[in-house]
Amino acid sequence: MSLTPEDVQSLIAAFEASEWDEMTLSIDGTQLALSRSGRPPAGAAAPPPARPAAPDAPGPERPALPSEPARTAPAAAPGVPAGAGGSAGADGALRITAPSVGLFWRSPQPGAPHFVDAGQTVGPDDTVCIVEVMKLMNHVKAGVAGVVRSVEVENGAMVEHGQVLFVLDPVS
Amino acid sequence: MTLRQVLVANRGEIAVRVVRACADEGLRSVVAVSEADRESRAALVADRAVCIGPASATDSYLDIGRVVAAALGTGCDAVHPGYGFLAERPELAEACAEHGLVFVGPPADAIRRGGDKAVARELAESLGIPVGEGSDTLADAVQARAVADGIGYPVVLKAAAGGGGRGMVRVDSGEQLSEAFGRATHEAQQAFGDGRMYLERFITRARHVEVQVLADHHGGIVHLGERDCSTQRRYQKLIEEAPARAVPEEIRRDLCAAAVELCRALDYVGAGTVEFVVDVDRGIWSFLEVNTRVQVEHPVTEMVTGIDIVRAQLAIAGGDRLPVRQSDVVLRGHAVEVRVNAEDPRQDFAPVPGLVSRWVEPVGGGLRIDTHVFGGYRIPPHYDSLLAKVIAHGPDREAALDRLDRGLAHLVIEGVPTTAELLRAVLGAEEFRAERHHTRWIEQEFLPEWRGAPAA
Repeated sequence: MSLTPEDVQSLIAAFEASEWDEMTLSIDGTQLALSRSGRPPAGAAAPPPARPAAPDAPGPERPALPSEPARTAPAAAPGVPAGAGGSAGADGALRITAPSVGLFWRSPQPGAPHFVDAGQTVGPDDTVCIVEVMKLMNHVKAGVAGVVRSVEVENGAMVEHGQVLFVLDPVS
Repeated sequence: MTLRQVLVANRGEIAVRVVRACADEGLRSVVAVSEADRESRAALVADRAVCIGPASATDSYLDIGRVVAAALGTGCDAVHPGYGFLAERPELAEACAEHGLVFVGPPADAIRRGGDKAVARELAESLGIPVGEGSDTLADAVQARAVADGIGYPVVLKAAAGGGGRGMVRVDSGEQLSEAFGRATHEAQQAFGDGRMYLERFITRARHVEVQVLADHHGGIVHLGERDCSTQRRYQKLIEEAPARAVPEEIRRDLCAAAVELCRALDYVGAGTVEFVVDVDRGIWSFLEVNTRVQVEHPVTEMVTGIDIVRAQLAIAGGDRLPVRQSDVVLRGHAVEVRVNAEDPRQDFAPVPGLVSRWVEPVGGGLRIDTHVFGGYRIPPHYDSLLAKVIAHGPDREAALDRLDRGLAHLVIEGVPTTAELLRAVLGAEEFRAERHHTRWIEQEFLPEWRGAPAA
């Protein structure tokens, strides 16, 4: 069997709808590697450099593309994957990024204590802030364990999707 | 109110087009982009870009909450939705109103009534506008069969919530109808969340003619003439032109009058298009649907009228009166637009994302290229395949077509297959030059022959 472009589209859709960070599939020598971080999934062959001039390229060539978003990752957030959750940067620090455009709130309501402050230790399931989208209060979880080194955004400011909200030191 | 800053809630060439109109109107522009479009031309030419979500359109360009949050968070006072995505969602117009933002488009109620094909059809009928031999909303397959038997086959089943060719099924005989109705209503339910269907007689040699309308908040309303969009493949337009020279003058006048009347009845505000189907053989016409947004093909109308439709949208949204009276609208010459897509016409028009390694636009008098592409641009796999609209204006149709052909010949695109070569073949085809083509001509006659011919 071989993958048709429609198969690949369905696989990408299934992947996007999943909670997975990466997916690698091998069928008869054709390898499909999908990754949210933009880095090739562990165990996947390196993606081909650039797509060759296309007319003779079969559909299965296309999956090289989903790794693309990383190339256009925001300058403000080097190496940070899209979406919420923490990840390690080059300096070993962890970063928590905004899952959406919206307003950044450090407390569950005005006047209430902050979810977290610098120096505090958080676990992956701890709520660290709210990103509000039109009255919809999205609780953002840390996604990683660490000690909060800094809070990067002023309370109430607008944040963009993927913007760094917190920098953490990993728990050693 | 006077607008100052506009959020452009779209991507691709139309986002660039809206940024241009904002600049011309002296407005600041902020483009809402997905993660995949941070480095897009629209993001780079706008005054600011704001990333609202991941590449998946559901969580970015289709998310009303994020669009409104981005507009408020960046200090915009208006939202321009472009076409597609949220452009015809009354909920966006309502959300804007709720948050004190001006929606650059018609009021939610006009979107709702104009966009519902069954409602719009009933309204047109009440105004005495021909709606073709067809039905109101069908209760079930039994009723559909009875109506279709009365009209005569072939008929076309259409989803009330569909549009732009989506949700349409051709049925050639009564035996096929019951099964086709069940499948079509199920698909419409899946695709639009609305399974209501109606049906119409299927016209074998149809021309698709649409009228551009502009209306302001003060009761002013004009039409900017009509466009002929009969060159289609599977209901998707490939080539559009203005005016619709192949349609008799008196029919064109009637279409324009009907479009204005219908928009008036919808309390329409902004730029809108009323689509009609003209039966070439029988010399009759009927109302098809209302598009409550700026159309992809608006440039051909701009080129023959000299009126900037997107600027007019912004001016109207800001409360201005129409820039022209009906008597000021004069059509000069002929304009033709082709849509160059990143699709492989020899692989059943499969869209091909990838790196555009080389991109050089043609030059020449009367040529206009609306695009978001540049050399080194990587076409993301998440969205539609439109790369550029190449538009040519000339003193007459022949001159416009020759300019367009020359323009396409000098459009350099490397890295991905495109429809440019196919479009050139269409422009040169005898049937097309002689205006004997119709909405099914490309798939029924042109493509089979073109596929058989050796590649250039």
